[in-house]
Amino acid sequence: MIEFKNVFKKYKNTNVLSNISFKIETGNIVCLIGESGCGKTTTLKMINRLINPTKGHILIDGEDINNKNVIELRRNIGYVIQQTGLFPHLSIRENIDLIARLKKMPEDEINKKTKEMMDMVGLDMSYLDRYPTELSGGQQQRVGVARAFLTDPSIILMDEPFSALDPMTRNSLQDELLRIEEKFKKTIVFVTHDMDEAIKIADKICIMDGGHIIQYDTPENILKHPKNKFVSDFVGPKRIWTSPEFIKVKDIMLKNPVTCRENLSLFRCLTKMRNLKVDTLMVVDSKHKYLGSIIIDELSKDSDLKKSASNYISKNSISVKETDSLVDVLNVVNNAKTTTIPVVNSKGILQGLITRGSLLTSLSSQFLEGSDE
Amino acid sequence: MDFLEYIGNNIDQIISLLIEHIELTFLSVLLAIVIGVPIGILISYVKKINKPVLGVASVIQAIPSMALLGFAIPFLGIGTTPAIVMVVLYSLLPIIKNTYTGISNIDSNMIESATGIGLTKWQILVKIQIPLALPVIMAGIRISAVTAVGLMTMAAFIGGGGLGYLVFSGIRTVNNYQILAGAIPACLLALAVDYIIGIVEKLVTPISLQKGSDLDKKLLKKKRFHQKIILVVTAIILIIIFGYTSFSSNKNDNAIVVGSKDFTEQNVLCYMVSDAIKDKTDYDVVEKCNLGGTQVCFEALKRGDIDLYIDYTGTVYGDTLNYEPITDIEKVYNTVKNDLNSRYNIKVLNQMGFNNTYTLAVKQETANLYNLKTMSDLSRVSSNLVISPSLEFINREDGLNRVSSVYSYNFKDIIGIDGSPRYTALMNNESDVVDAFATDGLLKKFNLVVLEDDKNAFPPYYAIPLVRSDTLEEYPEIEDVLSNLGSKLNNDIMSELNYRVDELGENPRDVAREYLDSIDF
Repeated sequence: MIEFKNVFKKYKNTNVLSNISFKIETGNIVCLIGESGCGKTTTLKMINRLINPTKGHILIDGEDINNKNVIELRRNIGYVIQQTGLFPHLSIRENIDLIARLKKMPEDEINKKTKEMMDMVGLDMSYLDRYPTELSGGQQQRVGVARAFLTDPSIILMDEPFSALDPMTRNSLQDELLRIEEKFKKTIVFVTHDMDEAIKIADKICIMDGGHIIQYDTPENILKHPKNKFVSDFVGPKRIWTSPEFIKVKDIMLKNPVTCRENLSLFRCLTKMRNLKVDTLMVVDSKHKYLGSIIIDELSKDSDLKKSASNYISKNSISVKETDSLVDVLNVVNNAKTTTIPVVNSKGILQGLITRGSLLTSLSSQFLEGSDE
Repeated sequence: MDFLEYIGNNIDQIISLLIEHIELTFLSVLLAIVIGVPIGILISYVKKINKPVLGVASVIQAIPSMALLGFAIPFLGIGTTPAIVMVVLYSLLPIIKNTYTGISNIDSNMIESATGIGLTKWQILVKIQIPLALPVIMAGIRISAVTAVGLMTMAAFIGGGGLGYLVFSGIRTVNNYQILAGAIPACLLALAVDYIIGIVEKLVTPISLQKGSDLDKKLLKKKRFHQKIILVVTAIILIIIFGYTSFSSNKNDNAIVVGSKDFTEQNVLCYMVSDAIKDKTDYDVVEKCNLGGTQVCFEALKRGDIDLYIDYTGTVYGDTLNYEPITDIEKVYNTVKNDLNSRYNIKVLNQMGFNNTYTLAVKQETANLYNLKTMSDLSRVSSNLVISPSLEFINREDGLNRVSSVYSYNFKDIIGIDGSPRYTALMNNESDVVDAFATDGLLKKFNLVVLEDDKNAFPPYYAIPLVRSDTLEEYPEIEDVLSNLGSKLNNDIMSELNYRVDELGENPRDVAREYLDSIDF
């Protein structure tokens, strides 16, 4: 775990960082994001002491990094930066095993590790004897990642590692990073200015501006509950639509659907539907447990108006949960050919209702200017 | 004499001077690298001092090399040490500057990346900065080395040896073949140095950073292999040269060192004195002839770089001791003898048999045209004539100043030209009058008319051996040998000997030897 405690950084009279405090959990990918000059890179470089705080403390697993030997500290933290991270006069092999050799790791272990890392980042062993200038940008960045992972550090710092690459390459490297992370469970601190990238890879996103942390939360919460206008502007009003899985049933359902008890007479039911101008009635028991629906189109003319509602409950009783996403709902709607879906919790208690209208309202909001959630 | 013939006759001397030149240059450049590269690195770290350091290095480069050498004599004496110091000083600027540029031009992101992955400052310097800056540093070394080859010819000015010896002697005796024999090997050496260091420069450039690196890699590797062979061969040659000379040069630690000034008569005397001592005693003698002007020789004597040399009474009296010039032969000699002994612990031996005083000379046509025989005759027409005296003659109290006041000369122009080129100026009609030594062989060579000093304007210039007191105590027999030799010489003999060297192109060493043999010394 990495912990920032009231960290300040001043250059002359400018506050680059003001009172930064946050924690990065072990095994998480945390993205630091913000505009140029917001302090995200400064924050990153404090972790391996390329920059020292003017005030405050940074702890790694509870120990102040100022008490550690700075060279040791750096050698136990992987560091990947944009473009120039590789040394042009050294071959790929020399670039990758530089630190391992300085650490005097045994020769056969270095070779084993090197091979492992090249496999991990998907590069052929024949690249080892080439020089950085002979590789494409994407390949160079893979080498950068391999170098950072070689000595098996528990923390990896990445400073806009993919930002100079074309979108296709960037995408595939992001996928690989996630795949590698799945396997190795490193703590990764990742600086980026690309919100899509952050949403895609981060467990938590730290949005910074003018040396302050504006919001530090999961991608989902940042998308749905931006703390203020700066965050919502930064995220962009329609950003959520690039990740529809973050839109949950809870966000779009009608919270107080029209219900009736199972023993209510059909006549009273129809009156209620007519008065409230709905065509479906949720039937619940005394504990508000969902029993079924009365759908006006499914009643015939010879229905006995005096009988209780329980006799006319529609058998087609599909439902969704609050935590299901919009994508799930659309799948259900597609398959069930119905647009009125009750939302229930794990105990079957009715929570809300998704109707044709509520779906249409949600889906259309992405096309209507300025209509954010 | 044909040029090739000259080369053939003197090939041993040329080769040994060339080897000496290579050694001196190599040592100087090596020292300059050892000093310059760390300074360059230092100023790329401590930015505050980069301007002062580069400024000082630039100023040093702007000082004329002659001035630097002259200035260095009191501190460093003569010979190879001041020559090497001079060349090192001149070589520093390109090396410091290129090291500084090479290191500070490395992308700062790369240094940060190296720091970030846990390299120490020293590791960054050794593994990242120096390898990346090496091609630029080598380019600076290349410039320095090529310049050093040329500069090292100045070493001969203070007796440091090298190919400059041939160039300087050639200029003094107006011998173009000798000049070329020094200049051409120096040029070839400079080209060779440029080529060799060019190869090193390419080799230290990482393959990945070499221009046109998309060339076939195998071809490049093959080329590198050839280049490495060339370097190994060069290194072996250098080792052989150093091994050979360090073997052969260690034998003369305990010997009398005979020096001389840098004109023909002095060279002849240098070899004659040396041979005379060798003939008559068991002492070892080393010749350091052709050192430079009076100041250079006198400083060398004071410091013990040389043990003895021949000077002239008037020169010591007026020049070194700074007395008003007088014409009394006895008084001049006695004053010189007492003063040198008491002030500098230098013994003055008996006067030799010739008086190499100053005189003025003109061409035959000029003498006929104006009917010139004596210096008084020259007074009438001096305002029509240009004089091209040696620099020493202009600056001496008893030189141009004295003769001008005694004879009321008022020359149209005074063009100071050092050494023998003033005769060339005279023959090319760029001047009409030159100063000359009474025994100068070039007077005969150019068939000049010597004007008689009818008013005794010039003081006596009898040759006197100057010997360090400690040397004389250790080798007492020198006194008798030189006294004996002095009695065998006079103005006519000296003129003759000088003439043989200057006009007939004979070697001063041979001329001295033959004369000693001819009088059964």
